[in-house]
Amino acid sequence: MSIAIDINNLTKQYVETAAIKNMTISLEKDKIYGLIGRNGAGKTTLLHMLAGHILPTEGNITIFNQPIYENKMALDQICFTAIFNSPSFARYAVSFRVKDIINTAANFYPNWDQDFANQLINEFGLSPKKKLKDLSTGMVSMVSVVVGLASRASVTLLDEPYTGLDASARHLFYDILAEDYGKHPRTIIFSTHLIDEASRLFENVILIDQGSLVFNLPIEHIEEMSYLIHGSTDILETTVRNKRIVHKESLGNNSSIAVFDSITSEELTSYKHAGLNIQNLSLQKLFVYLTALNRRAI
Amino acid sequence: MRKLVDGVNAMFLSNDSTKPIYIQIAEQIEDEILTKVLTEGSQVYSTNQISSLYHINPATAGKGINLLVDEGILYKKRGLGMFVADGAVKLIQKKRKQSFYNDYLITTLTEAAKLGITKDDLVNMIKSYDENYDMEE
Repeated sequence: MSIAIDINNLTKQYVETAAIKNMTISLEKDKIYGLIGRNGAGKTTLLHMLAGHILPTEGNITIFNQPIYENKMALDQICFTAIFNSPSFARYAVSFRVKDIINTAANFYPNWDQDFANQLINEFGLSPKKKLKDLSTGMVSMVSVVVGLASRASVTLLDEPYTGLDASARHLFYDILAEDYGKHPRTIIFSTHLIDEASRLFENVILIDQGSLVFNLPIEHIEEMSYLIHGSTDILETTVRNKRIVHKESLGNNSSIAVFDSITSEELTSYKHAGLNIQNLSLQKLFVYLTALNRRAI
Repeated sequence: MRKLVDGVNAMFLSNDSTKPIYIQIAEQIEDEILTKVLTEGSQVYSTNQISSLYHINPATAGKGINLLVDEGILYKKRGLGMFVADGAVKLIQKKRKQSFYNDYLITTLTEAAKLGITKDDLVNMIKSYDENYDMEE
């Protein structure tokens, strides 16, 4: 597998806080990465650095072995969308029509597909002649999604691409993304808070917490390590020992524990024999437990 | 542009399963082979068809398909796609019989114990099911 993005010892220090702390990640070409983290974890800062919008305090980023800062060759391959929702852009762009945005974007990206852009505008039911200021938040998001997808950029950064989109528009977006990515594979980093909804689109998941990398793992590895085990507290304590327990709840003599660790099929069978009930732990719950502010004593 | 693939409608993925999505995909295809929705020698859905139907990453769908290729249940015809191998039904049955005990029997026996159903009761239930819904093929 070739590497699309290399992030080395990246740090972004703001006046009082470090938004990103000494982060090292390699991202492979043509994969969809889900970027998850709590509010303020550093997701947007990281994406802005990947897009070359802001400079790191320390460390460096390369895209296809090219430095990104002031490098047109690298920047042409990167599309960052979220910008339409930023307040500064909104003030500046209110009088733009949808088709002005689309036409401007068309000039920026070498792989731009105008037919695909037209098709998406149609599917989302957008009116090309409407001004951005007359659109709802969800519709402005649709415009940025259209730009992100029609750019067909080798590196596409989608920063919470669907602020304000209703459930049916989000599913249309998932549909289009899966289909278009199948035809035109590219490296996509997709930050989201709707974790369970979007997780099936991810090939890898990057979890960051307080500016640091927690993990960057293939989704199936995470699935094979995430369990919710329920049963008598005594049996749980003797059976599920030496596993990494990320959460525990007790009621009377029974407990539920969330495990983030590999469990062999023999171990699972022995747990079942002991009368324990084993369920899947969703990515969203795993996320909540791993990033919980006040860790309860385990 | 986004229409369902014939036959795939019966497939569904569970968020509650302890099995990763790619294994669920593989098992769904196995089920269709066992129930003869897909017959030996017939073509299987492409990774892109599976991925757009379930909104899953095509690589995840591909991993499910590849698992079955590795086990000799599917094979690839260059330029044409994936097909069900001859003898696939036997292969799947052999494999599934091994996991039947873990996946179904333990759950049934522990639930029966909770309800005070004895093993003899269970055997009788199985026999009467047999009489009511002739399970012989």
